[in-house]
Amino acid sequence: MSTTTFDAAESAQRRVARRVTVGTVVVLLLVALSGLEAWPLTSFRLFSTVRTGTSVGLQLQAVGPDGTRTPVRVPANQVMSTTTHQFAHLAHARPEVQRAKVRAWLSTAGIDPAAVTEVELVRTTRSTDPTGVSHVVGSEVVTVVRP
Amino acid sequence: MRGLVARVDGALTAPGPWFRLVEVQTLLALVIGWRLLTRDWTLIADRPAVLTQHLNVMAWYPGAPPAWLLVALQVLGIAAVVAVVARRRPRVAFLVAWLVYVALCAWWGASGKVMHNDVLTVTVAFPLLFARPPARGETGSTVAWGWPPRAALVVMASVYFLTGLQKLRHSGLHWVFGDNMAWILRQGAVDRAAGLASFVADHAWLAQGMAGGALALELTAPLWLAIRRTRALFAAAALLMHSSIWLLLGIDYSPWILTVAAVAVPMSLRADRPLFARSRVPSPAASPARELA
Repeated sequence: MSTTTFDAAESAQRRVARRVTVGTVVVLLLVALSGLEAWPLTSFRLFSTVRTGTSVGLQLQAVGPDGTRTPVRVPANQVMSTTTHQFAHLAHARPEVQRAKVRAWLSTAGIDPAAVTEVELVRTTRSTDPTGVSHVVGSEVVTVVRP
Repeated sequence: MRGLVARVDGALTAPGPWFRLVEVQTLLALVIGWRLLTRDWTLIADRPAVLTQHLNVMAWYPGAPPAWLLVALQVLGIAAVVAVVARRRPRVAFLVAWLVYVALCAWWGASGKVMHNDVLTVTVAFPLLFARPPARGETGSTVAWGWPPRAALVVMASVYFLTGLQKLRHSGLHWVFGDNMAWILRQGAVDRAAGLASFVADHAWLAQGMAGGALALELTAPLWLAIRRTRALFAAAALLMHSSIWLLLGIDYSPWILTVAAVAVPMSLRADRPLFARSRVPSPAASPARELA
């Protein structure tokens, strides 16, 4: 390779280096500042909120014909356990979507939807004391879905 | 300011030795291969389609992928990693491995919660997709082999910095100097570390020290990674931070630990010193740009 050709190739690589590096950093910054979450683009909000002694959780409860309430426990693997983050949007979903999702959660939990009268989405507020013990201080049914 | 920009540009675009790009690309490929190998990707197929969210790069795929496709992709990705390690068409092989990894991780995380476990690996490997690795037998030093590992360092520094910035942006210094870390430990500790987590939570100086240390490490990552002699220290500090998160809270950030090591450790060596050499390569003439390589 002649010196001229080599220099031209080096210059071209310098341009690639700048474009790729600066472009990637700019995209990361814009996504972080905008709050966009479209994996793998993320705003990198890892533990970014302040925790207090009060925590709020959502859980599904299956209600049988005799009024017995059974927690709907999805499988513990990461793929299924993280579907519970969709509970927060369940109350605002269309009825057919609510029904389909609740039936899916019941099935993965090993509960026959036909044996359930209704499913309650329960919001539970807990307070943790300085020893780490958690106490329920409030509980309300956010929405009810008939599977 | 112009002087600083020129210096940074000079450091990024200086020639680099052929073996450094090979080392970083190979090590990142091995991280990807390890993740592909050690997960049961067929769990994705068990998730009902109605519970699959589509806010990710695989949103174009209709429904849920079948188990056979997931296994086929896993095998393809691992084969691509082997090809990178064996230096058989490493550029194409690295691209294939990365694409498979991104697809499988996107599907894995399509449950409604943003999962960050693999984000650093995906993001740091991205600049290397544009690299032109040396062919078998090619040696020497060129811009083409110098910039990709440095770009990976820049991206890594940016990710850590943004992680810290977001804590400051959304919580301010109360994230460090309030009871935040104490509550994280009290509410999130795994059983094996309940005693240790409780001890740390009960001593404000310890909990705030942990929080402050983590935030400081993230915000100063660009400094650590800009200077050759502190890159290995950053890798050690990241190991300590992510390991303590795993120990106390059970959250797996091992891909982050390995990705930092894959890039920062080779890049902490002098430009004339390969990572796995038995004898040193003759030292080129020293220059500021090469010292930062």
